[in-house]
Amino acid sequence: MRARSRGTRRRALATLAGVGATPLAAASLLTAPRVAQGTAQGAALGSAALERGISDAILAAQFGAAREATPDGEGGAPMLEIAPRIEHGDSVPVRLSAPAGPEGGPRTIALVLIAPANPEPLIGRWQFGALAAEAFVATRVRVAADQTLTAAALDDAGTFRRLERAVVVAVGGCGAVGEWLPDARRGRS
Amino acid sequence: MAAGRAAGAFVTVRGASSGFRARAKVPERVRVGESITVRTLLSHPMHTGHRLDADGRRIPRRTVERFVATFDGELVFACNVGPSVARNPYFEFRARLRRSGRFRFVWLEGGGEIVVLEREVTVA
Repeated sequence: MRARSRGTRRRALATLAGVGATPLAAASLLTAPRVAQGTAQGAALGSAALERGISDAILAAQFGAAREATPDGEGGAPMLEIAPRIEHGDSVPVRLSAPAGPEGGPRTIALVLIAPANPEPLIGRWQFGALAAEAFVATRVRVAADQTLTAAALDDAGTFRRLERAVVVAVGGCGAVGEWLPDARRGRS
Repeated sequence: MAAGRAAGAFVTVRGASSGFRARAKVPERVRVGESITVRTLLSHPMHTGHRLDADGRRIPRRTVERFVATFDGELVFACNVGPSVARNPYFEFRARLRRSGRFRFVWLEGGGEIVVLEREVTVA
């Protein structure tokens, strides 16, 4: 059941990716409820590329004109602590941070965490003010299914860096996928 | 609102009916420039809008949407989150303070309620 619904969702997202996911499209991704119609089509589309596409679209929407840089050990690169194998996706502890670089260098002002296979992929955006000791947050999140999470850190020089982390989930959070909406329940009989 | 109340003042600004409980763990006495850890939690179901109740009806979406932590009006930490944050949203972050003052934590949630919690900190 889970795989079937995900397939439908992926197909919808693939269509989106095919027309070139704009920030606008990404914004609608975050809000539009999706009705699971229950077909297996799309399941073989290559989820890694799709997940990457969703994450890219959300990063574009979140960071606008910011330039992406490759982590170079100079600081500002995101770090994500999360169990690689998740028993229950309902409440998963995560620690997200971006260690500071040399004194006087760019300061991390925002962290973003994306779960592209969740019904609403943007988990959150955390912002750090002048009184924050460091760009760090620990919280608990929902993870719907096996996927590659993307963490990203934005600094005040207009540069962002990303980190990808694959996770495996035994029981998904977000409400069992496939029970999102009554339509899905009817389809299942 | 809660200004002038004792340390730890707690107030639901709007719509007190739902009884969301806010909690914060903040050290009361810290040193200047020390990195301190702040832990906050609001009891809130974070309904995704995707789940069904026992009768097969969709439970309406209702989540915490924004959390802001300030210290004497200056931003420490804020976030925008969605239903992919687990129920009873917990946020832990780190602050560095220069003088004594008061933390103010504000949760904005989708049902229109605003929950405010304050904590006094002495910096020596």
